[in-house]
Amino acid sequence: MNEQPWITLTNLSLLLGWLAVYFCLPKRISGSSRLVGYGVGSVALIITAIQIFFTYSFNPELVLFCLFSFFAVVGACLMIVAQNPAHGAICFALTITSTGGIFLLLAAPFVMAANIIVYAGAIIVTFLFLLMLVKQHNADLADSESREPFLASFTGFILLGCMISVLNASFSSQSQLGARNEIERIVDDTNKALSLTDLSELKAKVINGDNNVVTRLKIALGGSGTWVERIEVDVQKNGTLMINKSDDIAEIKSALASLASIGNDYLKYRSLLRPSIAMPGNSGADPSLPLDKIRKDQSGRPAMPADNTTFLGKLLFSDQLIAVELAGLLLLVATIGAIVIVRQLPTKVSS
Amino acid sequence: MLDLKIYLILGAILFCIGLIGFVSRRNMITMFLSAELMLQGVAINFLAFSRFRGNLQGQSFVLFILSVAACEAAIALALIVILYRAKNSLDVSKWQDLREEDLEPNEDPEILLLDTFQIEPMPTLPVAGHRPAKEEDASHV
Amino acid sequence: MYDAMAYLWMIPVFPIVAGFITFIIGPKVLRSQAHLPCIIAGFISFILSLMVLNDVVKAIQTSDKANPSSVAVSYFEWFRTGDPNLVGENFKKAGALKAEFSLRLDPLSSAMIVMVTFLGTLIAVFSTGYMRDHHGHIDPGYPRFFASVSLFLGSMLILVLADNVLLLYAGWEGVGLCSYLLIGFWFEKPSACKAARKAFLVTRLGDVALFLGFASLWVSSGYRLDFDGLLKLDNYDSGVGLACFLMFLGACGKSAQFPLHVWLPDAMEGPSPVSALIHAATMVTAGVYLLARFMPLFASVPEVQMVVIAVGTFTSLLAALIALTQTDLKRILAYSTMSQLGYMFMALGAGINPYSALPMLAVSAAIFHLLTHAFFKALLFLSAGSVMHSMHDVIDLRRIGGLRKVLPLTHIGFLCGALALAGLPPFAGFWSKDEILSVIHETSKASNYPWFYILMWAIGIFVAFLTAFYTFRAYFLTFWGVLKLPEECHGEVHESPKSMTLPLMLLSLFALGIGFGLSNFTPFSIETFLGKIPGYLIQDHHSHDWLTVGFATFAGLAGLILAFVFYGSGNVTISEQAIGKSNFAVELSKNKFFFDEIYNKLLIAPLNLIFYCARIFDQYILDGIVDLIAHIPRIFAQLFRPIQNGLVQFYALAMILAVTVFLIALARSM
Repeated sequence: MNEQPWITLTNLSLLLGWLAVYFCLPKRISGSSRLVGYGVGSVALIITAIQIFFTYSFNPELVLFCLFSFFAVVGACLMIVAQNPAHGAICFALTITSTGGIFLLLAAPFVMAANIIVYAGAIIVTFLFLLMLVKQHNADLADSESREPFLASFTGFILLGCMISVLNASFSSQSQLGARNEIERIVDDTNKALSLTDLSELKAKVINGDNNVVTRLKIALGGSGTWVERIEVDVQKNGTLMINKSDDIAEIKSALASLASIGNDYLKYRSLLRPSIAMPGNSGADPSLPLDKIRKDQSGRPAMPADNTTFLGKLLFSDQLIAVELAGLLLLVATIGAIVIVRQLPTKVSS
Repeated sequence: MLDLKIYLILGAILFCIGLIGFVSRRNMITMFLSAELMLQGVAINFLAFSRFRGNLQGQSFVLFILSVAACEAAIALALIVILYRAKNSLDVSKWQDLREEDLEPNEDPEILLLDTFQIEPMPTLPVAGHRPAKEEDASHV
Repeated sequence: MYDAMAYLWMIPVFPIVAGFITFIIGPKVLRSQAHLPCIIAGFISFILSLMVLNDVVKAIQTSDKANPSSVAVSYFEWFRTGDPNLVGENFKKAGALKAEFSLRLDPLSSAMIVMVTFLGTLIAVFSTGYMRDHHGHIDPGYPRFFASVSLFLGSMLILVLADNVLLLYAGWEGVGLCSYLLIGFWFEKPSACKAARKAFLVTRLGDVALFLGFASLWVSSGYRLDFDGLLKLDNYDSGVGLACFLMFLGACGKSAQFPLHVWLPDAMEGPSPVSALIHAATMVTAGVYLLARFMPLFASVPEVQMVVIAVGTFTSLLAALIALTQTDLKRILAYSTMSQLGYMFMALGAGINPYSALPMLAVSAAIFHLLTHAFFKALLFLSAGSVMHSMHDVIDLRRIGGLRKVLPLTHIGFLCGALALAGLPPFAGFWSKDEILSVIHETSKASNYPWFYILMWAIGIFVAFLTAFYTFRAYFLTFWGVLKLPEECHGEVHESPKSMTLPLMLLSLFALGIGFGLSNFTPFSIETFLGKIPGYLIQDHHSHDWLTVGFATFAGLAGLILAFVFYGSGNVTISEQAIGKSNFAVELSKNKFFFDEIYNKLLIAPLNLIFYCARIFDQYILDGIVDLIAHIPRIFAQLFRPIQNGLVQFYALAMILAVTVFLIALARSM
């Protein structure tokens, strides 16, 4: 297990976020704790923003991401602490629109549109209608008091901390991009070497001196993470094998082949650190492409991922046709069910 | 250039906030909005994977989540309406009949709340077609 | 013979089917006509039995090899256990147990089935009148009654016709069950319930012994179940004595012999036709039939036979002594039944040498007495039932009297029955009782212990005297003297309906004539008939034992005259003074020799103590341990119950906490 310090900026902002949510949640004796909560929450957000700006290189995507996620998180927090459900619904609408921006950054314009229409346009409005229907004359006790605010917010943030640490362990850092490229090269070299038949030539390519693939792989992986350590054990094993059987070309080749497969596995499963180059359905351009390489439409402007809708439609109505039909059936059943549930029996009116 | 991790963290944050809201708030409508918030976090997760894996499966998944959420909203709203009719309140704590039979109901002390801490009353619309009385007019903001 | 085999199976099947039909559709569909299936099936069986009897008689007369007088036929395989190829060498034969539904037709079974079906049908007819009140309303359990009677008939026929011991045992248990149902027919009465339970449990003791007897027979005969195999003495290695003794115990239970006799007097709680059918004519004779069937085996073990005759004589004497002072008409008849069954066992015990004619003589005497007794005892019981019906269920001899004029037909029936029971010529009992005493006399000449059999013979004669006395005591007290009616009658009394008196008249004729009809002086001699059962030796010349006849007749007459002297006035009190009050012997007799009390003190009280200890052990020690184990999960549950507080949000919180714990574990392991 990796020895990471417990006191990190991430954990600090988590702690502050917990305190902020705890202070803001409605309590019987709230006093001015809500104001304290706002203050602490702002500090947590600022710390997080600083962390992000120091981690990632500055580009428009980062700015947009920060903007949208700021509004989404703030809207979400305000929603759960709002004493008036109507205010909560408005804050939820803010969150929905902000996540719409995030969806756009993730090259999903159709989903963004559908999301906003369904949530902000339909669900929120229905909620507001409902609020009007149930017509509370006074603020309900239920709105002014939370159940277990301390325990609930603590649990929520512990869960969040766990998820973040798991994510950190899996996708450790930006530097792994370089590692990924290096590993790609190593796998390439190893595959080339496997096709050779001369032992001395093979040794010169992949074993001798700086070209030793085992050493190179170790250096490339050498960052951090327990997963990497496990891979290193396998690598070390194959390296020892190659040294012990240095005269037998077949043994060396099999060891090399297993090394190559380790590298391939790593590339395949362990490092989703950048968008895939080949995006089917034109969901968006590779951000690393230079501007002049970006796909253009007929009028010469950069092609928006408008084709996304086309390809999504093709996918839905070919591969996932049954699922779509079932979803339609579900909607129908839900409609009927809602009507049946709400149908008011005459005797209940008086009570 | 942003990586997958930060999108996943954003999804996790939204999910956990929704979770806190669902667990701690007692108003059924707020609880339901919190559940929808959790769905938003999950949707961001799916879209990020879709983007970084380079295929459209994640996006179609989000569309299904949307349709299920719509169904859920319809049913949940209907349930909330009849629950409100039964107890004349949106408080979810009024529904705790499934406890062990010898346990005391988990009741909130109804102390003097309305007197001690002035909770502002909800805004309500006057009945359509009638001129509201002056006193009521004053009391409703 | 072979024609008869084709429809032999129908004889028991008809009443059984009728019984089930009545059980199913009786209460709802048939209602007051519920007697129809029973009577029709009984009548059909009776006709079939007559045809069968005719065939048997023909076979006996021709007596050639092609037409034997004893045939067994297997209709289907009942069950089989084990595979002879799979079990070990020692149990090879035992493993191949094969029970078949096979019936046997020979003179013994054909005589029995005719008697059973005839009396059964007659008594069913009688019951149609008896089971209604004076306004013609049926008893609430009317269909149940006839269903039980029907099933009883079927079981009895299976018992009699069975060709292997398992089927016989099935019929045996069937009659036991039906007897239980019918004794407890008026189950609202606690005494009836008690009597039914007593009868069932006491006969159960005998049944266990019987089953053990069958099992040891099966083993010692080289694993045979059919009578052909069982009755061949060559088959046996050893252990016949034990098997016979156990079977005799079983017969004691069913036929109410000492020491298992206590249930029979209580069984009179059932309706009178039931007493007539089951506890006088048919079921109680099952034990006699069993011993008669296995007579070749019993004859080979004279020690057991001595026990048989001793028990029979003792029971006969005991019952006669008890009957002297009873005041309940039906109870007197019950004790007389016991006494007469003792007579039959005396006869059976007299057959001692399998290679002489004695076993055949013993069997024919016992079966002869069985048949005559069945008729006249049924007659007596039905007459008593008729009296009871007219007297509104009062049969206390101290409260009734002088009924000769008001119940003329019943009076004639009872008189015939009483004369037959007392053994006065020319009534039925005279001939059969005479046979029995003659056989015992005959045996005393052949036995090594002549004085023992002479003693038995003397006691038999004394019992004949007692029988005549108590029978006529009951007769005089009921029918002679001044007319005395119980209050329940409200002063009015009338003769029973035709459905009751007609069977009485018919039976009176039989009680009069059947004894002579089946005796050695006619071509229908039962001795010749039963002697044709294969395996018996027939006595060619038959000498009449005039000494015995003389003694027995004199004893009967003496009893009659003595009864007239004491009770001719029809009044109990005068005669009581004559005998002397508070005599110890009288007390002994009145209280049935305190057998119930002795059994209570000696058997039931110690058992109750054991049961009490067992209950304490079970309740406090076993249950305590079980409860303790059951409390452990409850204590744990008590710890976690508050979690179940009904708040869904709390549940969600708990769930999230758990997920978080798992996630932390996952994060630490990465």
